[in-house]
Amino acid sequence: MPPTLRVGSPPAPLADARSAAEAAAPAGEVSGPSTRDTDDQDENEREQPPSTGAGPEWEGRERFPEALLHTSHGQRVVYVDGEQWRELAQFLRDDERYTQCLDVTAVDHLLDTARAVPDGVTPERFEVVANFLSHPRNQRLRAITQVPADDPEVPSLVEVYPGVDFAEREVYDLYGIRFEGHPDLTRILMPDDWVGFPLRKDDAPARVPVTFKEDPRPR
Amino acid sequence: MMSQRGTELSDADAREEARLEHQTDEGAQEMRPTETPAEQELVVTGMPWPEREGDGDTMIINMGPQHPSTHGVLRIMMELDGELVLRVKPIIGYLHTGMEKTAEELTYVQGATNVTRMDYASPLSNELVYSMAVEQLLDVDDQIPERAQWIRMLLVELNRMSSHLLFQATNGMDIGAVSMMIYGWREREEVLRLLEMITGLRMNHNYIRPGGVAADLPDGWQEATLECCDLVTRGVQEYDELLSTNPIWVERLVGVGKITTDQALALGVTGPILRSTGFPWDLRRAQPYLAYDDVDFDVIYTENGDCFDRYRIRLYEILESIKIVRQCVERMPRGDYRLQDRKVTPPPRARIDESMEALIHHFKLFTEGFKVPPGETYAAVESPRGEIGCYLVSDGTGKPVRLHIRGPSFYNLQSAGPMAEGSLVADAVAIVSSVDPIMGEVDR
Repeated sequence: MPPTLRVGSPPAPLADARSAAEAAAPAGEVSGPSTRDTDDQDENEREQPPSTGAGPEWEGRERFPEALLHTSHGQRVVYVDGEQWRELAQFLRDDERYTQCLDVTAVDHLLDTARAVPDGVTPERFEVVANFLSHPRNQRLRAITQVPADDPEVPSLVEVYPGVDFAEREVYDLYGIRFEGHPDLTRILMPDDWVGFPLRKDDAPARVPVTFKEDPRPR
Repeated sequence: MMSQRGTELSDADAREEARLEHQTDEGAQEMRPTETPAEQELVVTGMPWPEREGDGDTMIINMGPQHPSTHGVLRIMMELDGELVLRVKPIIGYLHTGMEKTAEELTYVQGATNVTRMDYASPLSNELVYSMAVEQLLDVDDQIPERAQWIRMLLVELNRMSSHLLFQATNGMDIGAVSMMIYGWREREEVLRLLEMITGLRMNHNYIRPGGVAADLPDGWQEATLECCDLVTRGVQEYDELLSTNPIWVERLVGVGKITTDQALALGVTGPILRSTGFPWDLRRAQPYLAYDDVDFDVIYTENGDCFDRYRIRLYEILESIKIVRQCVERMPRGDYRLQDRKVTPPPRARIDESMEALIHHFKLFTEGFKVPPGETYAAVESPRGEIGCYLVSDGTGKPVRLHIRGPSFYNLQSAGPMAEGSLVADAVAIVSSVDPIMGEVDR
């Protein structure tokens, strides 16, 4: 019932991330705003090359043998099963230092004629997409799970990353995909009494009929 | 034919919806009281008020959606115990116009006009991230001419200046430094005038487009830009003098709305709020795009994570942006300002009169747009408010299957709750102001 968002004690990897960022940027004087010198950073970047276009390896290969890694425009995408959704997030946060889940969104592939799914993934109507970012490793990872149309439900990531609260509510609001375990799964952008899920492809825009006062009326 | 629009709900759909409603807390966006409030005693005489006891006698009040300090149509529900804020819940959606749905009906050429209206205080960041995503899908992101990259960088930084100046103005207004509001708007207007000179519009420019920018820089842009930089530098020094050591300002902001790095990271907070907690993360530096690895600038960060730090970071980031803008003026490379691929960018106006192909290309581009190969991508840049991302899915046709903008304000707004809980009502105003939410981007 309480809909507020509370932040519990931070998991250990976040502390690591902070120290890594501090190491990358030696703290200046405490009183004034500190700055970070360009030359220092260049060295750090050489130590930790930004690997958004890293090879086909990914951290969870042993832990999630069924998950498929796919490279899309130099970005690493992992296709996982719906049951492993929260487990994957937990693993990424606790073991692999993915400090932030930047975004959760969904796609409706109802009318999609040319779908780009890698081999081995059974395409379903909906896809839920989450973007993770690791600050200490300066690396991104995108996770995608297939959600069937007849029972659109995936586990919620709010317990792992509290920041996806709004994002999951938005996906529920616009797509009707339920997030199991979300503490406050309500509409967020649309009015409470709205019928239908606007971003679904079979939900026509401007469905509300225009009615005029005292209409129809014989002239 | 109204009857043809939309599909009527079949029985199965109606059942499905009834089931969904049953399974979720449908219809409960609003905050509900923790428990039934005790019956209030009415005090009608001029007698002293009875002393309060902290026995759960709380009150839920609404701030907004029409409130001078909620930056648009944000509604904040607060549960109060006297002056103390116990819970905060932002309620959004008052500016929802379905822009992501609209994007599915627009071609990729038209798309920039749509996204630029999301974060209306920094429209160029939106255009940039959208263009970058489209270019990645087209596989032309490594062919964008150097001059186009630098023009983009120049404009985005000018836009960062105007956006942070807007923050200085509205923040001052919210906290009661009303003269600051006038100064902030004054300098922002100078930047907008410069943007108008370059792009033709003060806001919603539609200037950065897939493939490059819409037009080359006009004559005399260097002088105008440098003049603007001087003006804004002077302005920033003035604000610094006026506010940073002003005892009222300092008392009002220092230690208010504290947030730690761990909280900020967990809540998906990016940008100045994250940097104010001592976490120097800036995409321009960490994952350079455009030509940011080529210019000299500093990432501003502070340690305290309070409202004063957020004010200070945004103030000093204006100076860093000016630094980048000056380097752009000095080192602007020559060359094309957009890709010379006629399938992506239109031919020059003069060519249309003399070349049949140019006419056809022009006509095709502006009627049906260009086709984008199937695929999906996520592009991210550092907007004045944090990481703005664009998740784009194409099925090979001329219109996107899905365009999703990860608005930084949307996520940053969630931090208003933890920041404001336990503070006073008056501080809540300062806290919401320091989050700097742009509702156009929150609601999209």
